Amino acid sequence: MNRRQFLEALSLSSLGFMALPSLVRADEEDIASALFPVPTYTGISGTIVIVGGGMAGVTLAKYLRLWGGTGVKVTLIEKAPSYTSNIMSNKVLTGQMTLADLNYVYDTLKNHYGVQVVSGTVTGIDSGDQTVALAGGASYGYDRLVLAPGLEFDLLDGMEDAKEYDTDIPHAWQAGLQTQLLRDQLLELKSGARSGDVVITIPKAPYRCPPGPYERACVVADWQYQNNLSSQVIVLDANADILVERDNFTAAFNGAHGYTVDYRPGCKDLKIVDVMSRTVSYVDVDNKKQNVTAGVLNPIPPQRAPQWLADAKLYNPDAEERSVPVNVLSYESTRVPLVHVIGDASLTTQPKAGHIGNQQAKTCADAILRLLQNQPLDPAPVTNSACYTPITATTATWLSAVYQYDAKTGTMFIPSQHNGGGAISTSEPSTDNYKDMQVWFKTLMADTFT
Amino acid sequence: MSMPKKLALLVLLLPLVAFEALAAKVSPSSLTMVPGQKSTVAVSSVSGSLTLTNSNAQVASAVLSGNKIQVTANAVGSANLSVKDKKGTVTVKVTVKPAMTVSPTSLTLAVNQKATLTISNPSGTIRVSNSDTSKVATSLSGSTITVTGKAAGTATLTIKDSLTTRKVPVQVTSSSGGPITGTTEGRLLASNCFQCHGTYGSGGFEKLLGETEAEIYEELVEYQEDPDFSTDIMAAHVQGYTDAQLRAIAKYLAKP
Repeated sequence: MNRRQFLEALSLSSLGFMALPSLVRADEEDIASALFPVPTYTGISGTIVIVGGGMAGVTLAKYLRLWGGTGVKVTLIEKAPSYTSNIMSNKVLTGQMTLADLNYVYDTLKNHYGVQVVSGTVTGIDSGDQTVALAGGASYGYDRLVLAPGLEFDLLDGMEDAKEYDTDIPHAWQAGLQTQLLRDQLLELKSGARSGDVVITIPKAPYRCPPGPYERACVVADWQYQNNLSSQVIVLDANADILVERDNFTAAFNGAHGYTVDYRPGCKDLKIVDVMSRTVSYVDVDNKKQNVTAGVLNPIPPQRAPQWLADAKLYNPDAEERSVPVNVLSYESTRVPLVHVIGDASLTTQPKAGHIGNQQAKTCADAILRLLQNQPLDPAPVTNSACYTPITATTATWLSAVYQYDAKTGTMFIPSQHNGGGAISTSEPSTDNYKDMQVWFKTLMADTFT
Repeated sequence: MSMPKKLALLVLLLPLVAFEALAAKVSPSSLTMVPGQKSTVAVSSVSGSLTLTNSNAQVASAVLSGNKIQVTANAVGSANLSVKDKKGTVTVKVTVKPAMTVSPTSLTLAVNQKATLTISNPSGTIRVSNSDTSKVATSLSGSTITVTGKAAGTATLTIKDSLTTRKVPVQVTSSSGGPITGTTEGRLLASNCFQCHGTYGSGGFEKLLGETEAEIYEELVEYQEDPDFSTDIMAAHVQGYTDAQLRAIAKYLAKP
């Protein structure tokens, strides 16, 4: 939502219309994890191979079986034995959750939905032969191949090896060991084993989870405040302004975390000057070169679809492309037939995030089932993005957007009836929102993994 | 011409004819295929037992069964299948070419909107047939098909070359952008509810399974009319749907 839309929304709500009575919300314990049966042969048959066991890939596998029945053979290839949720992983930094709390396994997919889950790493695809090859020599044939591989992280200027992210300057933008490392480094600030400010760098959009870096700045600032640390959180943003929930984050940076967060927009030419001393340089909005030495350095790098997708001609890095152009009615590549790309690696007008990745997967599942029957695609699919963002250890905000299909441009857009074409965010952080956040997270993960 | 002379000519010719008849015959004597395609070569005039040698099994696999060779094309390239019997050897050349592909594999366009289909790796002449010329017009130029939406509805384009057939479903929508007016299938539309209300509305925030179509629709409308939509995420969310979509969602969720 831009400033104007927000003000319009405010003035509308301040006219004094009677609000709806506060609505019944489920308690966390009530979240159903109902399992619905896979229908027997529905008349649809096909062989679908999915690469990537994250939010989009797992949702697709589940819904292909749930909607397509036993005639649709689904194989999911994933290199890790389980998935660690990126959503909520900032709460690992503050000690409110552990990585184990964010761990999701593929058992229901295998045992209930009858998806063949294969542990392996893809080495290449042969779109003529319609096969995908794995390290070790195995190969899987497909009628349709769907890639949901997530993103790969660039090396920042001045870095020599991606391992530096694992050992010294964690980006922790894919939940896992780096998240734990960043947590441990923050604990060293508390114990006095290291000193200095926390520096978070934000890449130019698009990147995974638009509110995520601002959320991280807020919860780390809140944790420092709760633990009586005098250090600051310095945010070096390559973007000219806060990208989403501008009003909520501006309020948090100036209000609740006003003494702790030092937000610096428009930082260009970020460079890691020295990994060991955690020194970075950048050019500020006044075109002056600045150096900052951090106590804890958390650089969030630019992200792009994995290189093997470029090798498969799905996108062209030489033409400045960083993710895969797709037809958003089916998520089929516009370059390579019979190969679809969903989630963060696809290039669309929608954000890169788990909640909308889940919905893109459902659109893709519906499209593939129609294509297997030689039926036309749904001409007007809708997707939605929603997310809750903790601002402190007890309060949260939310953001909501609905995307419709524009046949003229072939893109997804927020329609004018939805706040003049903009996302909508809550007017202020609250503890009720924080409770709702738990319901949202658990239900989203159940719709994906259960 | 006297008889002895005729006989002499016959005697001269006989060994030649007999020699020609010695080697086994194959039909067809060469194959052009695409990966995944299967074909059969018939062997006739066989003397004694047959053996089959395949110069490149990665390109094509071949199995001899009685007097037939079953050939499966595996990968692009060429292979020679040599069939040997007591009297000689004959060779079948198998050429495997990349299959023709058509991109994209389906189209959705508005009335009067144009889109192009690109054909890659065609073999021989490309032929395009159109199941409903009142809905869609096509024109083929080189390896590009221009498709124009004529009226709302569906048509299937069938694109053939000498080896492969591809079908491309085409949907023509009446809308050409702007406000959403198109109808949508209830199931996919309603699946937008599942992230927060559980699969099929089984619960999370409010459980929807078990509610009637009228109850769900009325709740959705009540939320949509809430002027203070930035205090409730459901009120915010529902702003993005048309009335027709809300009705389709309610109808589906009442009987998923």
